[in-house]
Amino acid sequence: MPEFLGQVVFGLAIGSIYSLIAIGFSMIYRATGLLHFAHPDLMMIGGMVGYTLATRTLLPMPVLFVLSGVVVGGLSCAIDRFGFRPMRRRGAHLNLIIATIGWSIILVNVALFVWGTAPLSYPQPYLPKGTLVGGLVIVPQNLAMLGVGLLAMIILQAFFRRTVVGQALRATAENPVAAQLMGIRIERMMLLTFLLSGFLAGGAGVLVASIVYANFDLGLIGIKAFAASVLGGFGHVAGAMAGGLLLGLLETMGAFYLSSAFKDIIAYTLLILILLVRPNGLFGAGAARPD
Amino acid sequence: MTVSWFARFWTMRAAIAVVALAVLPFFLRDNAYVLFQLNTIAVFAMLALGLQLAFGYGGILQLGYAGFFGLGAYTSALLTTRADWPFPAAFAAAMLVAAAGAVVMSPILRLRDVNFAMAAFVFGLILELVYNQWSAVTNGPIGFRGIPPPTLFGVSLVQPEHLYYLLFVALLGEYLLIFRLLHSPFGTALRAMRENETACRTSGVDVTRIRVTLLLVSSAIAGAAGSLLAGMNGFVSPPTFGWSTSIAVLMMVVLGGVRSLPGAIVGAAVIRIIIERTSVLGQHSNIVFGVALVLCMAFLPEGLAGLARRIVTAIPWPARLKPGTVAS
Repeated sequence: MPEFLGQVVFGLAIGSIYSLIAIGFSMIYRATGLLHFAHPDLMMIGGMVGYTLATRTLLPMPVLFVLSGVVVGGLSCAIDRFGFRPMRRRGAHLNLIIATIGWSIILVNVALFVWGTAPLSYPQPYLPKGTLVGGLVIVPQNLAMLGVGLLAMIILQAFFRRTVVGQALRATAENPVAAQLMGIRIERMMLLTFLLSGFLAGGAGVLVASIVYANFDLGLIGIKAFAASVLGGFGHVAGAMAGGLLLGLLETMGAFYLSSAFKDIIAYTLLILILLVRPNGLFGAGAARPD
Repeated sequence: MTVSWFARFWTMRAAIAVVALAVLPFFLRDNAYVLFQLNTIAVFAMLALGLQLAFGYGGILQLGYAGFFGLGAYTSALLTTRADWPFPAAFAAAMLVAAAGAVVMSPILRLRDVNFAMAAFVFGLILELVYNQWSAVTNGPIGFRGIPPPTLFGVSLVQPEHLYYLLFVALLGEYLLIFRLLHSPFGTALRAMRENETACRTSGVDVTRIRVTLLLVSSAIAGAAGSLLAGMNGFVSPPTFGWSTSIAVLMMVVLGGVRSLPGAIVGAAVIRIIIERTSVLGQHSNIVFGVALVLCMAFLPEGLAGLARRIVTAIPWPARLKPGTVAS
């Protein structure tokens, strides 16, 4: 039983990483309809920026989280403003998706250029120190991620439902043309979405990188985060959170009880099957659209 | 009067291009390196044409295309090294296996837009993982070495110029096949599907069947290209058949110009040359790629083919030479 619980804790910890990125994916998709392939790499950049700040300044973790979030949020905005907005005007949606792949390649290579190929470990004070609670090892970063994820989810949910800006964002996602006619500045709304999701990605990067390492290939986790947001139903913030945790659990259990070499294959196959049966996600409304 | 598809294909420009490519090796006889590069371009041109059919003409954003390239390469490698199959048989088997892979993938075609892109991407990832992890069959990350060169009618094609002609024939054959397909009722249905899918269904066109056919044909083409690559290089290993190759081929199609067959070939050549020229930059070579992808999407959405069209229409041609007018 403690073995099983340990796996659950581990699974949730990994899942919360997926969740944080998946929330960003979903927000961007919801506001702009864009499949943003470069989003996980923004998280990676966040981890790198956090590493540099950590080694230079030894600021406390929450400050690193915010600083890195601000830097990456700004970067995310800049990419949207100068990369995507001019293209959105011309309305070639598929081209935009392909352009995000281009940005992903650029970010990875910038990271390679600036920080090199070797995995970078955060300085000692930031490293995870497990505490034993009732026979289980609890790592503060994992709790932080879970907490930040939940907090972000609750705040975003309230933001989307209760505030004027949030409603404007939802309106923009629903029908950009009508939203614009109602006087909503949709470009500004989209920029805000990129800022928020970038901030979350940057902060998540610090948490993730301090647990594992900071490296240019950290964005690969993004594939799983994609899977998580699809599981939860693309475009639903709460669903993305739940999908991330679920995927983390599934994957850890699969690796533990079935086969670790094939755990990714299992997870991906499952993902495709879920997409086929419930294209709107596990929590989304309705089964497959009859074709 | 209807013009046969071949008459449409065999214009002066096409004839010049075919003849030029056919005599090219005579000028490069001493330059094995350039020939080898040309052969690699030819393999990727086959892939780009196949993806042009599925993505450009059919709108199927197949982000896992390189996985099918791998199915062909591994099938061919396995059969020629472990079972001593002759090359033509292994080549046919490679196409079949890749097509079978497409059959497995075909339920995904029910998904649309983002969900399809996602599922296709994941399908490619699964194939790449299989090449890496299923060591008993694929030799894992090491892959296969010592694959015998293609043998046709008892002649082993070791020299690059011999391989060049094999690839030339394969590429020309593929081009003709796709050209024929696009100028048949199937091609008309394809155009209708792109314009208005609902109207297309209402008129009794089986859209699902069209999409499945496109996936099957393009995958079989990727399988053929994989088999040729395995025979040409003598080795295969997983990274060739992963995400980065899928992106490279997509880039070839997009840079060349969506819905342009010659564009796909030109795109393949340009991208291969960029990859080759920038490999001196080592690990940073990819940044050129990323920047090219972004710039091309922003400033050349119609690709090189679109650019060429614009230039051609901008030139004040004398009436006699005006392109697009067929001499009676």
